[in-house]
Amino acid sequence: MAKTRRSGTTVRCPACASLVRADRLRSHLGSVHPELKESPAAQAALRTAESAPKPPTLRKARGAGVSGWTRGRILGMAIVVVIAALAAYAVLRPPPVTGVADGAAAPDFSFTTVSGSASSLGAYLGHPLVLWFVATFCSSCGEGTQIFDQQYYSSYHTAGVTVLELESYNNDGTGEGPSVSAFASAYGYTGQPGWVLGTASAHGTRLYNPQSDLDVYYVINAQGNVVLSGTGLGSNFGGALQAATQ
Amino acid sequence: MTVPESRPVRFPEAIALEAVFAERAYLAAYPVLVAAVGIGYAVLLQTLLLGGFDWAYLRYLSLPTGLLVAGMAVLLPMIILLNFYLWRHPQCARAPGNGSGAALSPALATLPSMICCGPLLPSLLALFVSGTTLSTSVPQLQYWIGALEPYLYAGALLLLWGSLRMAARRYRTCERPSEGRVGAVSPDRNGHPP
Repeated sequence: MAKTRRSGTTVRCPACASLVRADRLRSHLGSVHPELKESPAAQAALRTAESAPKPPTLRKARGAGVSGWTRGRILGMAIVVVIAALAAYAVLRPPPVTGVADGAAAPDFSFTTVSGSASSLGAYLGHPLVLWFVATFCSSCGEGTQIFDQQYYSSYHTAGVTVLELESYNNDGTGEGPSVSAFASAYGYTGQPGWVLGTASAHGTRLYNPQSDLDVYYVINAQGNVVLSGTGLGSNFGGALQAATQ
Repeated sequence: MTVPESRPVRFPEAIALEAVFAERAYLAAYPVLVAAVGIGYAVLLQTLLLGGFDWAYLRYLSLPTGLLVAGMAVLLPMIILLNFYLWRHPQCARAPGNGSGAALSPALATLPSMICCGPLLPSLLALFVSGTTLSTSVPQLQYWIGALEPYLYAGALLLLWGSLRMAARRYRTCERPSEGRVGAVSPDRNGHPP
């Protein structure tokens, strides 16, 4: 008995009982069961297969040049190619930062530390520092914080470079995600000297992170000038330290 | 290649994989592929997430990402080996089915790492929306994508599993020759030809 499916009409092979597309039964019998090809059962199955209605193809339905199966495959491959292109773009594209330009003096702004005390950027100028704007729900910020804690903190501390890691105001305007203190305890911040965690004011966030990127950093030298900026500090702690100490 | 007829077809994967791993070459290739896929995929996800590469980043895989990588490392080599096995047996090569799901799944699972935190989404959306809308809507979108991450990963693994099942069904629709000559017909349980 023939069954019509989306992929085509199938019949059961009289020799091995497997389902075979009706239009392929003859070649199946010829290649797999050559000795049974002329048997009455095989001939009957072939007659059934040949009289079975042919499935409508997109070629017939729309005048297109591809069958549904091929079309699905092309679509799948196209999606894979687009995603691969996006991945290459994400990794290779230089990250744009539109806040304070490199070479400019770093403008002052206020922030609140994780312990609740008020402070400002100006209090830290005069020594090299890295200003890092994060969002507490951002995975790369969390992993970057872990990487800094476990791999780079000691070298930054030894070189006298302070890290100000600040949540962008209201988590980049979303109001979502864990609190800064929950973020701190999740990723290894315990108030280590030379590393300050807090929340930036709305004014500071607008100045340094106007595009509301989740993971933006500025390296500020001892003279108070921005010498390097970018996105994704987690993969550039070494470069930022080098820029800060030059 | 022998397909036991009396096995239930509820788990066609088990039957197909049993046949594949009965050959020593496939059995030996599997752990190599598991290691290659696991390490390669973990490196890819961390590189996309952090925007750079370092072997040390592998230590910082989150739990959902680690589970995804483990699932991918187990399932993808199975699909690759099973499809290779089917391709090498001419009587199976023209069976219906394809590996689009298996190709799509690893690509789909990279989306959270690519989009969650980096400049990719803002850069793309900047082509279509104004700066003010961008700065308010993109972080919210990124937050949602981050929250959906475990579900996207689960979906990717389901897609892989579905692909494995499809490949296993292709195996079931292949011939069922008796031991020995390829192309022969299996006798029935009493030893008579069909």
